[in-house]
Amino acid sequence: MKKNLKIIVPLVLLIVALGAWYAYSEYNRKPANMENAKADFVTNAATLIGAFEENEVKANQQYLDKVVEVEGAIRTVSQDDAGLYTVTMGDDGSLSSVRCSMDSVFNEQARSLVPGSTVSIRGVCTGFMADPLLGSDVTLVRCTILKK
Amino acid sequence: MKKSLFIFLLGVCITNLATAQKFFTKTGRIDFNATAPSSPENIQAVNRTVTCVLDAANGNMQFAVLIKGFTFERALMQEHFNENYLESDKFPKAEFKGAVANNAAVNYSKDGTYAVTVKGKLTMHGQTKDVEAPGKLIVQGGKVNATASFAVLLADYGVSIPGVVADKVNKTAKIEVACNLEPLKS
Repeated sequence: MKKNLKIIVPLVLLIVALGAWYAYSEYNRKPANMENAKADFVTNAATLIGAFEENEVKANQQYLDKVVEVEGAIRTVSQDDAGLYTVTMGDDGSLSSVRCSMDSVFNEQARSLVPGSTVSIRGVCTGFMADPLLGSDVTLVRCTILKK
Repeated sequence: MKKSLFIFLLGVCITNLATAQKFFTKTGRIDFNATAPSSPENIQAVNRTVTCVLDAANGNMQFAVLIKGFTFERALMQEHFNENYLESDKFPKAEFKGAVANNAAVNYSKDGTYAVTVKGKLTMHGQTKDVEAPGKLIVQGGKVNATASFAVLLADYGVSIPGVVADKVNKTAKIEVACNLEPLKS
């Protein structure tokens, strides 16, 4: 009986400690950094936009909250008041684009981008904004530019 | 006579152009804060991909925002926000459709700061409710900076707060909107 207790007590303590450690690390977990995240989908701007324009519900099921790597031609690079960059990708002649809100950690990368050149950007897909007036966008957030 | 008529018509055209102006942004910002007064931790998130269109002619204003674009400091909080509270897989967007109630008081072609009231319908989590918010329009150099702040009762939108976190998550969320609107070239 005493022998059993000698095994059980440390075992219970270990489980409690592991549980506490797990809870603590879960609680403090930060949203994943895109630089080292594994892409769920690798695609190009035209395909991604096409998927959402064809069937938004289906594309939402497929892409929402997923890490997506998109290759495409840069249309615009802009910076807001807070200094954050937004890069849009898409074909000329189409109003639709992939709108990438850059992670502030990677501002340096965004600064050097030139409209017209082709890049690969990795980010989390947050959905689709269809607007006949402003043009439709597939939105990616927390984006990073992939080194070639 | 002909000349004065021409000038008059030109004047009419220019005023029409000025009043027919629309302003927009796709990089507006919304801050969400549902921190309970006594809570030791902040329950707040920011979204920087807000779309907004303002029609100067009639004051009509529209906002659209993707729920999954709200970023929290803690990943777990962000997941709960999306999965348990706003169910963003089912309801990916929140939208506001309304108007600047006192649009006549705003001169979009003259620099200045105008206090406004925005009234309209807010749709989120599949529920639509009337909202009214005080805001500010700052017209400067042909651009409009729009800010507003209001509170939403989460229960109004079918978002229930479980008892275990009632001391952390407030029943009303404070929403702050800030948009730098550019003229829309048509």
